[in-house]
Amino acid sequence: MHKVFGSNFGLVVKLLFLSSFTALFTWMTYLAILKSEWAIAVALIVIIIAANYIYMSKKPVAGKFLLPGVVFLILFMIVPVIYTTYMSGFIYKAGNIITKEEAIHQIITNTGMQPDENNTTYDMVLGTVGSKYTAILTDQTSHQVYLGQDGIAKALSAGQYHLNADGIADSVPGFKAYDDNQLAAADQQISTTKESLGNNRYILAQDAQTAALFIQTLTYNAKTNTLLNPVDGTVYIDGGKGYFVNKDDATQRILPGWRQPTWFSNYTSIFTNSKLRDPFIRVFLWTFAFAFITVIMMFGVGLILAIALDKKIKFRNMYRALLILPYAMPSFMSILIWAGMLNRDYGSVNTLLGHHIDWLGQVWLARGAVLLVNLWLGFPYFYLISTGAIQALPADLEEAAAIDGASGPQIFWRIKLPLVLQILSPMLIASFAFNFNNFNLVYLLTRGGPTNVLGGETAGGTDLLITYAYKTAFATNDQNYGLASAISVVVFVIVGAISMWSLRRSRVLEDMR
Amino acid sequence: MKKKSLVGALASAALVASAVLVPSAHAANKTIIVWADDQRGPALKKIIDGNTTIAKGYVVKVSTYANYDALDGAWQKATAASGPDIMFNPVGDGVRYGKSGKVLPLFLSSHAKSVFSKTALKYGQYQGKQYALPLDLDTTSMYWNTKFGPVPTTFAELAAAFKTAKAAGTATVGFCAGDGTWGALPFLTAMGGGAWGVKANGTPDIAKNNFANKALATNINKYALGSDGKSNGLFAWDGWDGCGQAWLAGKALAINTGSWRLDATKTAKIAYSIQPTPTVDGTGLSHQWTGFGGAWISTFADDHQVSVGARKVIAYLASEEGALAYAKATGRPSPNTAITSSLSSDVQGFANAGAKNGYVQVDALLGDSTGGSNWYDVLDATFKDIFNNGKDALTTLNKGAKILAADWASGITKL
Repeated sequence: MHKVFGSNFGLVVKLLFLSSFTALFTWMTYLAILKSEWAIAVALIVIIIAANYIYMSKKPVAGKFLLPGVVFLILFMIVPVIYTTYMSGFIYKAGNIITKEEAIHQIITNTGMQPDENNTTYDMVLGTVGSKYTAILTDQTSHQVYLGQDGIAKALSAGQYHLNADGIADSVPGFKAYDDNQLAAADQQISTTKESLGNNRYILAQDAQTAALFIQTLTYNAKTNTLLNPVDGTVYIDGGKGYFVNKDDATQRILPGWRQPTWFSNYTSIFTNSKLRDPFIRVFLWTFAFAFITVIMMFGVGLILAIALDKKIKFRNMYRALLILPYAMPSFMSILIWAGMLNRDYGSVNTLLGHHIDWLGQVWLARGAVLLVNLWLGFPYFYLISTGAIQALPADLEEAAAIDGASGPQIFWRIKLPLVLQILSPMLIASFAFNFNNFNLVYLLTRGGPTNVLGGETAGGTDLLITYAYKTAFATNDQNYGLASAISVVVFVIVGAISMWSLRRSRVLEDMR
Repeated sequence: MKKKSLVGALASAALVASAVLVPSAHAANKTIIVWADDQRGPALKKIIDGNTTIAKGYVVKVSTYANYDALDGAWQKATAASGPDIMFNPVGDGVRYGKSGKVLPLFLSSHAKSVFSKTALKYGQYQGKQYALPLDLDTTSMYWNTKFGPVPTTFAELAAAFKTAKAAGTATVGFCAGDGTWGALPFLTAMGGGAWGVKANGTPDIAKNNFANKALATNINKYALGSDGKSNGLFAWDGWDGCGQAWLAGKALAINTGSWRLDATKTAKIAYSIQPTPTVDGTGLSHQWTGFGGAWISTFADDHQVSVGARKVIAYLASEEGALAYAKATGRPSPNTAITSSLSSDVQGFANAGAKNGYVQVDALLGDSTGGSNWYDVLDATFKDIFNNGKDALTTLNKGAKILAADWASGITKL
């Protein structure tokens, strides 16, 4: 091994990998710069420099192993946590998706531009007069022709333009029409074509051949941060909740709104708004109970099987292979198969029992089903790690205890189990944290239900905090991402705190050993 | 080591140079990025992906997402750096999209306005502006398995035919809502109930709540419940994976679903006829939700400086040529009435059903606007309580109607 990678061949392989990596990441940086994603571009440049330095230098040996992990940790763990926390501080829902600058732009160019009552439309021919961008506009109804230049639409009289066979003005003196390629190149210019007719009336290009008359009904004053309707004089102020609202009637909002910083209001609403608080508490209690019970069950069954198969029995290897099978199958498939098996009307479980038990439709049965299916999915893992832990225990401990007169149960409860628990504590804690957020299981099996919809419940009997957050974000017309982010952060803090506490506790046990 | 490092640096530099130079060498046409779901994406790939003639100076690139949720999720997160120029999505999202500020108003020619269904166009509007071009009609009709006899002219006849077939052991389901609660409206309306009322101008009349009424409860009790007060099998709403499989096995008399189940039905060799669901006494019409899939131009098209090209693509799809190509590729009815006669008779049947007795699916009303629940979940809970748990039909329907009324009252203000 050392010879291969210590030789020139090894160096060539390393250079090939590093060069390919550098080229790929430089290409990504190039794209990021093109799209003005400066933070991503800088991050990619840092990664390129760090990778080249670490892998071309002899000194940072540990860094060679740590770099990929650290990069992935930052990209897929730390950045999402920071971003979610950041978003939880905003009013961020349907209607408040874009930034304030983008919202003002949309209000001025779209919301605040209303077609005139006659829907006046113009045929438009684009080109240049000299070097000046020019639009020749023919009113489709009145046939009045205008020359659009420098943001002003000037009425032309007969003789000042040339009409084509369709009666559309297509030229003026010195005019050079754009061909298709020039039109494509002038895309931005065309989409922002806005020629004033005075009195808040503008001709706006709708595509490369057509324009229409609009009335400017909203203008923005950056100094006062207000919108004004020049037609009726109404003033709209920043209402502080992500919308411009009528100065005299705050219920009149201008859309679109924007993501408005709101500090902790999403968090406080979880605990002060009874519509959110009551289901949140119920879901929180079930989430905690589910994560705790499921880990205990999986560990218990896994440990019992590990102990049973620790003895030399006939067909032991076959049993072991069979026990691994549920673990080898993609979990989403297993969950969907279980959902089918537990179907009230067509499920094989009810067919076997000869009854119509609504396994997934009654709260406690559904909770039992969720625990049972998760046990099926999870016990092989605990069987495997328990087997490893039991095999790692020194055999002489058991012998010594037996010589001292300890019975089988005493050896198990007082010697083996504490030692196995000590070894497996980190895995149990990790499993608890994983199951606290076991979205796939709940969503694929019960979708968080059953929910007593007609009784006014908004959260289901098997909803976990994570599925509840998902529903909050996606299942209502409002699509409240800010609130869902706040719930996610609360989940993160709870899981983090429990994990830290447990890890510290397990370290204490280790010290005691 | 220094020598080796130098070699490495040179190799890296060479590859970097090639990485940067290669893409810039083929940057001729501007790219119009189109996003679509798994239903529309493959069809769009056939008709516009790679096209450089619809909008000269541009090339169209279609990206397909695994399903609607994945597409919608990506759209919600999209920024100018990552977002599409044209987006294909349900037109019923008009309100949500319109108020998001991420889509541009469309300008349709007067010809397009005259040939497209007015209803379809209306639901692509927000605050008086057209945001979506409706391109396909998502509606359902009743498939009747002809081995169970002639098509019933009333729902009462259908119930009687089911009773006979069930006794003979040849059927387990009478009428299957093949698309779950979304497809269950024909059952409700056939039995005398429904959703909101519809005003003469076609807009929703939320003051009229048809979800709960005595006629509906009476008909459910009379036809769909057994002596134990629970479902007798006449009606099932568990969708394609549930009663849909009974349909494919020839064990269901009828299924209400869309043109998207034609192939599966033919493959299963079910002899069928397609017609609207009959009402309980044969008078009046039953109704089904009619949604529209359509195209939107995002504000990112302006950012990407391709909005003029994107509008040309929309104009093409609004033309007879484009609409026909799209309808043939998707196999769905089109809201463009000028091309209806060019489509297959089955597809025309669905188009006619949509026009005749379709109720426009107004997502702002069907969704949860009060923090309670939405139409689909209310319906599911109501059906479960009546058919599975044997609760009193009228009382249960009244509970559901109360939640729906609150949703509609809130949703109507957002239209």
